[in-house]
Amino acid sequence: MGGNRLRRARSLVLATGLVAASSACAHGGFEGVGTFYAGLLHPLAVSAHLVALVAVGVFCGQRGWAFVVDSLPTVAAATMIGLALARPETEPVAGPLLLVAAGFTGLAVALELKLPATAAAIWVALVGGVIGVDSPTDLATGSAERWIALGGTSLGVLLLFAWCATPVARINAAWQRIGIRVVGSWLSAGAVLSLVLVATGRGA
Amino acid sequence: MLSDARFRWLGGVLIALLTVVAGDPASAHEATGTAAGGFASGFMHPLLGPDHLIAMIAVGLWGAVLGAPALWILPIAFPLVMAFGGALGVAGVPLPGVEVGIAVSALVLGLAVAAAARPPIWIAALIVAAFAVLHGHAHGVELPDSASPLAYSLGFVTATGLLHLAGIGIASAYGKPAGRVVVRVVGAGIALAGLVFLIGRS
Repeated sequence: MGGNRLRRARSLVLATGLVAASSACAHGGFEGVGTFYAGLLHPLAVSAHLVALVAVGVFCGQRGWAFVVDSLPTVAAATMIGLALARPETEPVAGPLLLVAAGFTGLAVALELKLPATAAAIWVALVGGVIGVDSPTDLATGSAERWIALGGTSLGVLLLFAWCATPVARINAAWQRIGIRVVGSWLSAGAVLSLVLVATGRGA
Repeated sequence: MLSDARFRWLGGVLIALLTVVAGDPASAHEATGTAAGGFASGFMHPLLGPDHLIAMIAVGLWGAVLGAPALWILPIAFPLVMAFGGALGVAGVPLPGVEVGIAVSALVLGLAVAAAARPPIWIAALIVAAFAVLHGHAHGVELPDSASPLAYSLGFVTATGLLHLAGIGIASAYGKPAGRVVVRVVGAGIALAGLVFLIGRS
């Protein structure tokens, strides 16, 4: 049963990636790519988003494969809600908030914290939502292009989350679990330092 | 040789790490700076400072000498404590004698390895934590303004962790009598280098 779920999830991730490759529109935040692709690549382009997603992916992976699969719709929905609410005015608050979330998530990974499932799911949703809120676009509200961009970003967030969570969910050996905890401490340390930089006006 | 399952797992982890390292927002977000350049700059910082480098290897060596649970507690806790020191450095909070303290860290940790010292873990943790704050402070103060700050932070934290791992790797032979001698000689070498740095800064 576990193997079938894994294969289905893999197929879904691969299929959506292949579908995404066929879209091409006029405008994008990245030169030379379409709006959908620009949205898809967005989580890779913003360091705080990348770190937060890696941290939350590893956090979910530590809880096991079942939790990762159950978190996929949570991450997707929360990100889309956050994206719908995103405005340029929310960026100054959402950015530092995301670093705080990444710091705490990395710390939870380092400590191998076993939160109750509901609390963990709420935390994952919050992180996804903040990533969304921190991703405003200057495309016209209600325009088809805006929805395409937001769709691409949602998918990019989901793929990156799944990409990070999947190998962690499959580990069994003690040395691998320790390695993941070390990675968690690195992520937390990086987020804390970046937060201090932002607070002192030296960071983006 | 790696089994298929372990190979796939390592491949996934490497791809994930490469994703983090290779993210280059140069065309998209001016605010984030050049993440790849910031990560590389941060990564090189501990490697280009011989005092940082040998002290971090000594942390890994001493962790192996102390054995479990220090062996894995140190690599997990060190980056977090170092980040605290780094935050102080970034915030401009002065700490007295940071450079001297970094030289002392190489001397003390090298001596601890050379002597195969195995104090209670809380004492070892306090010693390492104190040095972690100093090392972090030095990295934080020297943070270049132009780099992507988060990428830079991740870079030097990652490099520090890999140096610990190198120390642990060197000390993996500690179980054998000949390996124990090698590890202690390496520790003595680190202590000597630390003494040279200390004399140079006095």
